[in-house]
Amino acid sequence: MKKFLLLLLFPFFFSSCVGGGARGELYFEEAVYPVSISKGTFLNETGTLAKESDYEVVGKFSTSYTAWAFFWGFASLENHIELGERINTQVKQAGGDAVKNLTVHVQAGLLNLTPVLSLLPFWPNTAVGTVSGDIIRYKLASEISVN
Amino acid sequence: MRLIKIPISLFALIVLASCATSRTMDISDFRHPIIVSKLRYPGDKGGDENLVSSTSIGNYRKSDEYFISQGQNMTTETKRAVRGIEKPYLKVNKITVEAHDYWFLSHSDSSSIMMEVDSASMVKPGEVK
Repeated sequence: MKKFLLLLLFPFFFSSCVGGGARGELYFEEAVYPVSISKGTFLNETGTLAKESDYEVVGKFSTSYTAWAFFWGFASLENHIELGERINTQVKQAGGDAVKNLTVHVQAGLLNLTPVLSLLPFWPNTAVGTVSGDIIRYKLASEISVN
Repeated sequence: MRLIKIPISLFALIVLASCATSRTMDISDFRHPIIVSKLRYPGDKGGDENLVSSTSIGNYRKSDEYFISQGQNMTTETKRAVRGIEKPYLKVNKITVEAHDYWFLSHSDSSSIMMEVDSASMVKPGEVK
């Protein structure tokens, strides 16, 4: 029983003196479709907000990313993470016009908790996460009047 | 005994990993657009925005209670950034994500999602409102 407990505590012991993390910057500069973090989207240049009846959800956008760092997370690499191309690919595949309700998630990576090795300054640290949202297609004027 | 060493160690690591800090930004209930792309509407060429002010919106996690309250503040901060502007939207310049976990005998963690934003209006400069 004593051995069993020691075995169970082994990773906790080594992880009790380690740690790390990372920082990243997300960009959507290459996106050729409008992308909104909220539910609000513009219909046109006049600033008219799209109503729910103006569009339909045709798919889900989802992608993951990883930011890297060394020296226990104190030295982040150049973490310019461009997600625009992924937006373009998935929206085109879904036949959509825009993305809304973009949700961003970030979490410390498992590498940061690796026993013993994460004590080393050149051991890579990560912050991982996902970005997801709804792909929408604006209805044509004829479709709106029918509905 | 040797056979169960690996699963037990893996289990312990999974327990550790489940304690890893995390943060989610979800402002989907906000009615004004918060645009992260260059284009704001289908067919937009970009570049004719009327910038009103710059601000940053962030949310942090120190504990679960704080996590919840900051989630609410996210919308409050966002509302504040567009107050008083006609046909407003937020133009996001970049989103910074960060997560750290340190275990020096006790667990210390922090994770954050920060947005650098400009408050903007769809009304062009000089245009009669």
